[in-house]
Amino acid sequence: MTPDYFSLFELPEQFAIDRAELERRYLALSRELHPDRHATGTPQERLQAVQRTTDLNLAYKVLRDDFLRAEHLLRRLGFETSEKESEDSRQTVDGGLLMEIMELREALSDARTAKDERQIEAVRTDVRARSERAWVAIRGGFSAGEDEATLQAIATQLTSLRYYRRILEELSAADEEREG
Amino acid sequence: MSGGLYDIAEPGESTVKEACKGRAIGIDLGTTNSLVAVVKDASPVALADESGDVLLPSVVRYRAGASAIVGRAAQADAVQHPRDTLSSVKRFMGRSAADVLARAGERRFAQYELVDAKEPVVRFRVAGDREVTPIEVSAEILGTLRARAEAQLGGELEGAVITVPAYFDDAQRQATKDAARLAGLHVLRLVNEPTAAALAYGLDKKVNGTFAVYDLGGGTFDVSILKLTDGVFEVKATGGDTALGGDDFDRALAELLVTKVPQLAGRGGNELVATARRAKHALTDSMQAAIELDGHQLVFDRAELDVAIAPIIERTGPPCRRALRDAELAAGELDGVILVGGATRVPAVRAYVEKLFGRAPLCDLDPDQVVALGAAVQADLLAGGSIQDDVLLLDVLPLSLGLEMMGGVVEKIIHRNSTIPCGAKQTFTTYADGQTGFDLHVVQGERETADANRSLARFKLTGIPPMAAGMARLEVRFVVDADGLLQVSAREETSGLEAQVAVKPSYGLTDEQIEQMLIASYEFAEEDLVQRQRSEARVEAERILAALDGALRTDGALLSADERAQIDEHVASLKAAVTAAAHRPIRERIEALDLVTKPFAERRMNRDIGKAIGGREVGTVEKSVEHAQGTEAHERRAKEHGEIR
Repeated sequence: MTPDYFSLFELPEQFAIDRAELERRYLALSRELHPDRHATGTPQERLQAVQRTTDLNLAYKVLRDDFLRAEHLLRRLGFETSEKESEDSRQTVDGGLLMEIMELREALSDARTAKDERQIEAVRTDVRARSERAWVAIRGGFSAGEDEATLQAIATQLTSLRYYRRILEELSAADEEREG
Repeated sequence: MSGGLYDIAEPGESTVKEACKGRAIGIDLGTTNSLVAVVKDASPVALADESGDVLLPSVVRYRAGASAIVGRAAQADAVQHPRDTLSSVKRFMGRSAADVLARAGERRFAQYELVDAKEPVVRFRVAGDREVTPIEVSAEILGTLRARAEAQLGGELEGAVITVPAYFDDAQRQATKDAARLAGLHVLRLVNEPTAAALAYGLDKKVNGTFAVYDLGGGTFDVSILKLTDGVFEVKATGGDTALGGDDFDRALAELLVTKVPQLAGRGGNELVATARRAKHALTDSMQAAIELDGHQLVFDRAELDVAIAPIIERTGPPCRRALRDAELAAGELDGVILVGGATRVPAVRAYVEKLFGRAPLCDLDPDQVVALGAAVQADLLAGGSIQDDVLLLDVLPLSLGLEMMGGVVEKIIHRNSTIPCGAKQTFTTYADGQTGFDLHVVQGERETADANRSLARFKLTGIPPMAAGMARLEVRFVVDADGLLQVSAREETSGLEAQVAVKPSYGLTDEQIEQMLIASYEFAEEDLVQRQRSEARVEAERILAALDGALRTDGALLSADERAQIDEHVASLKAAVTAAAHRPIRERIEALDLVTKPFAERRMNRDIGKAIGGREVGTVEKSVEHAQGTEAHERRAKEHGEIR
């Protein structure tokens, strides 16, 4: 069963989110639940405080992040995203996407081998642009409706995004190693 | 010694809460100096010793057949007894002998004798044939501060908040907690040093906004980015280096000293470093310092110092830039930069920070005391004695936690800068047909390969029925508590097989080891130990009884008559054990009482959630948080199940 993070924060179950309100409610819930607020409680209360704050922190992390929130919302709408079962995911990931990612990775790895900073930046810019296009489609999809076909289209875009995100993460990890 | 320090009031004489009010202390266990503070009349103050000194040098001298000497007196002995006098041991906390030997630069002027062993914890040979760990040395320092606090506050302490560098890893945190346990302190919380400093600053200035805390101590460097919102101190990102600090300035200056006067090369390292430190201190306020050693007159000017330490100061830059990136902020978006730690008195450090963040840093609270003052505030909050009822610290995990996968690469399970407490789970599978076990290697750090990160623990899950490769489903669960300490558990889902590990075995201390160390400390006889265990169990029981009593008084209505009767029965049973029994029956009855109070605790917590958001049905909340675990794992499960070797 997928937990309901939206109702934990008493927020409407939709992609668009009021960040200031989310943060305000997170802080209010933290004030009640955080282990520090129950430090003089019984061991059971202290344990509960840790568990519930752990859940709260996770829920906040998911709702705050566009990607995780989109994924969570799809699951809440009864649409299992393809990552749930890896075996399925291999089958459902579209061949065109795999080809696209392979080409991007190849371009990146060539640029790295050649230590071609400009080419690395070009790949980064390209992946960012692709991510942005996927986001436009996802936002449009969520406001369009919740029918099967729309959700499927959103799921497909999220799958692409997941690969883009990984490439971007690897790029910033590489920046960091360089910076020391 | 009698058990005098550990005597507690007989039950019934007073409730724990009354007895302990104002007796929760904050301790800054520093590389060069340590201190203790307490909240008095609603504001934190540092406690001084008999001679008026607040700072206790973190130096311990061991003697054969006698108790250790701590602080200034030990420091004075350092030149004469270099091998028995240990300083800066914070640098060795949670480290093995191999780790220490790998950092040869650090030993350039050190005269300690390391016990050459494959032990997970480094040991020093002192006072003839005695071997001590950094944990024991730290416990001596903590014990001294504890005695100082008890003498001035009059009796048993409620507990202590101990500060650690934000960038301390799990092993270093665990070692600190073990040291406190060894010193007989009840640890209310480990708090990160920059967070404690921000607490002291924030309360002092009553500000909202986003701040960077630049904390350069004797041996550790931290930077934290915090957002202050109406009393909530939320750490957004943290970074640092746990082997970088003012000590390094002293060593660099000592090198320079030897370059200037080669005849000094043969002098003891302690003496050279002490001389260098004097020169450094003198150069904080003047442009020139004249130092004498062995009849050699030496003149240093500040420019020389600046050149010598510039490479060290520059090492603080990358962690600061990374913390800003992680917090998704530009330096210009900060509302202020706070300086903490004695080494930030060095003018070159201030100039560097100003350049790095593009603004003049704040340094109006004593950089040596501010961490302990913040710790005292947090201790007071946790002990429930505070008037600052709206203050809350939300801190983060400094370094990512992960598992080693096939081929030695690391799969991160919890990412750095996740707000603690936090947890995540992830499912793995077997890679070979008929594989009946998993080897789990838990690591901490940001690097891609396991061997480049800190190894925290290895454990095995065996006895899985043979299956085809990829059929077994191993669920590994990571949980990090509010002290930043990790627990890992693993479960094979098709067979239900379980293994659990508090990530201690590779470097933490067992209860037995703590007992042995206490006896070895020359201050404890075995009967003292029994006494101590009993009194610890009693204090714990008293604490729980007081907490439950308060809860029942305010929320007794949440219980049915039957439930209430059951709780009362267990309360009576625990009370009886407290007056009579040894520690084991007390512990058993604490556990039994704990179990019957679970539903009560749940209901109280649900009511609190309702309060936070207002007027909502508790049932829906309960449902929503009930399974709210493990989504983090989904986040990274794009490709395939990971395979653990």
